[in-house]
This record gives sequence, structure tokens and C-alpha cells, in this order.
Amino acid sequence: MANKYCTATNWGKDFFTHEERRQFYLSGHPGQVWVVGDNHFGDSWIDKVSGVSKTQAEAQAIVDGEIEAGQTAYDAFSAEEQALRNRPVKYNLP
Amino acid sequence: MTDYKGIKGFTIPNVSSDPANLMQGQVWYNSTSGTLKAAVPGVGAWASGNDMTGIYGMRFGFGTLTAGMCAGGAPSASTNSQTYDGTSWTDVNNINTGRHNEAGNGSGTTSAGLIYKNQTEAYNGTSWAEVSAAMNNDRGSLSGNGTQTATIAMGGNSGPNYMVYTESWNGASWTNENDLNNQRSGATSLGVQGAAIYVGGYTGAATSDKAEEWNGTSWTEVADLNTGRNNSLSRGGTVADGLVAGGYGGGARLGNTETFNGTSWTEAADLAVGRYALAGQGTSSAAFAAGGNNPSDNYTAVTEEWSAPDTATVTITTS
Repeated sequence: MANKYCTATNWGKDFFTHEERRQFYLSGHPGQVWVVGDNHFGDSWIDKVSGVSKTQAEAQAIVDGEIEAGQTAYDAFSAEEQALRNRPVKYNLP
Repeated sequence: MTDYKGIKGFTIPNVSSDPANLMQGQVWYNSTSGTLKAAVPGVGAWASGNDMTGIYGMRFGFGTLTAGMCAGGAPSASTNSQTYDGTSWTDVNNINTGRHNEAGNGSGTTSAGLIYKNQTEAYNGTSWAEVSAAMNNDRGSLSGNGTQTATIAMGGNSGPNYMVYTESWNGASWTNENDLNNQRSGATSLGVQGAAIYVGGYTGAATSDKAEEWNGTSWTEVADLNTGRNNSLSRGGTVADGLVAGGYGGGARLGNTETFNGTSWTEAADLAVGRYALAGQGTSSAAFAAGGNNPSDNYTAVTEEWSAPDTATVTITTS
């Protein structure tokens, strides 16, 4: 199933509900990027959270930028701090 | 509607709010939302909860969805302690020794809690007190579960030494018990002192999908996880009805959730935000997952709430 992409700020409780999670695919990514299942429930959720629609390429660029910033920060950590973390790795949005 | 009445013998009820005490197969029209709804067999899912009061990972976590507690944590060795009532997080009195733990660790309730990583601290519903008894084997990234006066703790590591140690707590002191079969650190555990599961973790060489069951005396290997992972999974439930979520595996922050029926693990709905070093506990039908390290290596305040009811509501559409 195709997905849609948007940015939206997670305000906490009821940002996404159990019922909504059962109605459409949803996953959150760095940069407040959300991947949303392409059905009318997903469309309604994007409206509910005032999501700003993105193309897949735009959304991927936001995520990549956040991960690159995370990689830079990780590389600047001490060895002791790095031992408590895992260097972030780029991945493709679904 | 005519067909429905002809088939069922009655019309679909028109109500202003969703009915309580649903029965599977029940259908109604919600006039407030203008939607046709039905009750179907429940499927577990994670919903968003309100953020913790700060950004944390690697916390000690215990309790339930509506009476949960998290303490300590990274990125610093935090002394923060806070409770969750199913809606909001509230800071309470700090723990005495700031620290974090890279495994599911913490026992008891918000009125009688326990955390342990060499030093042991107990919470009485108001404040934390150091308990004089240290663990027999000083280590980090150990897991554990139970109550304030009856806990089992296992695994962990000290530098490059990955451990099989198990210790039980009786409310006053720690006692060495029989070892795990597989040395692991950063795993998680669920259950109670006399019947627990220790699952996932890192062996020192690789992420593990192993699960072992504790019967109060010894450990026995049971079915492996579908997805091996380590680093503080959220957890809940019992050896016959368990839940784990999140973690780190295959180079990725995972959202994977799995349930355990006493025999095998089954994939369930993912967390919306994949992450490791998250804290959480509860039951297999209601649990929380809080904080953690997200895919850009940032700790987060995000909370998600697990619900797997017997019956769930769905909206019926024709599109």
C-alpha cells in the first residue's frame, strides 16, 4: 500500500489513538516526519494533526538531515559516551 | 438499513456516544461523529501518550499503565523520578544516586517500588531510600522484575564481561541463584520473582533473540523472539501472557512489538516511534513505553500506551 508523508508536531495524548493505529499505517521519524497509510482514515488524521504534506523525497531529506546531524553529534562524543549509544544510520522511509 | 433489519431483526441503534461494555459483532451509528461503528475482536495497538517531564533513556521503569514510574536515566546519570497516571507525568522526589541502566529493570508499584544496579533503592510512595544491601555481583545493564520485597534480577555486564548471574531479593538482601544458560546484557524481563522470562539482549558479540524462563529455581530456554534486540525494551505481563516492545537490533532502532503466550512469540503492532533504551511496564493488555533513543540518536520524552482489549471499536466505511 502506498503511503503519504507529512510533518506534524506530536502533542502527546490523542495525537494518534489506538483506533487510528488500527485504521491505517503510521510511523514517526526524526524531524517530526510521519509516514501515513494512504487511505481516507490516514487523510483524516493528517487533517486532525494539521500535518504539512511532503513528497516522499522531501520527507526523506528531512530524516536524512536529522540523522546526519545525529552522526555528527555522535562522532563528537567521548568514547565513554559513544559506548552508551549507537551511531545513527540512514534508512529509507517506507 | 432495511437489509440489516431484515437480517438481524432490528435496526442499527442511533446513539450520541459509543456504548460501553461492547460485545463483538455489535453495530451502532454514532450521531455525534456521524459514523457507523462496530465492535470487533481486539487487536493490540500503541497510541500516543503525553510526554515525560524531560528527555530520558535507559530509565528504570515499573508499575502499570495507569500507575507507572520511571527513575534515573541518560543522557546524564539522572536522579529524576516521575509517575504516570495514564494521562500525565508528574515529578516526584528524586532517587538518591543518579544512574541509568541499559536494560528493563525495576520492580513493584508507585507506592512500593524498587530499583537496583549494585546499590538498591526503595520507594515508599513519597520518597526513595537507599537500602544498605548491595547486590552480590556489581554490574550494569541487568534486568529484573517482581515486587519491592520479592524480586528476581539477572544478566548484565561489567565492561567486557557479560554475565549469567541471577540474584533474588527478599526485601532485605540479595541471594545468588542459579545462572542463566546464556550470558547476556541489556535484555529485558517480565513476570514475577518465581516465574519470569528473560529475553533478548547482547551477548558481548551479537544481539540475541534468546528467551529463557525462570521457574523459581532454574532457567530453561524457551522459544526465541522473532526479532532479536537489546537495550531496554518496554515489557509487561507474565510468563504465560507477555509483551515486549522496541529495542536495538540489526543496526536499527526498532518499533517491533511481540507477545508471548507461554509457548511462542507473535509479532504485534509496532510502536509508532522506533527506539531503544525505552522504559516501561504493565500487562500484556495495557502497558506504557516511555523515552528512549530515537533513529537520530536523540533521547526523547515520547510516551506510547499499549492497549490490547478483548473487543475494539472500528469505524465502518464503504470506500
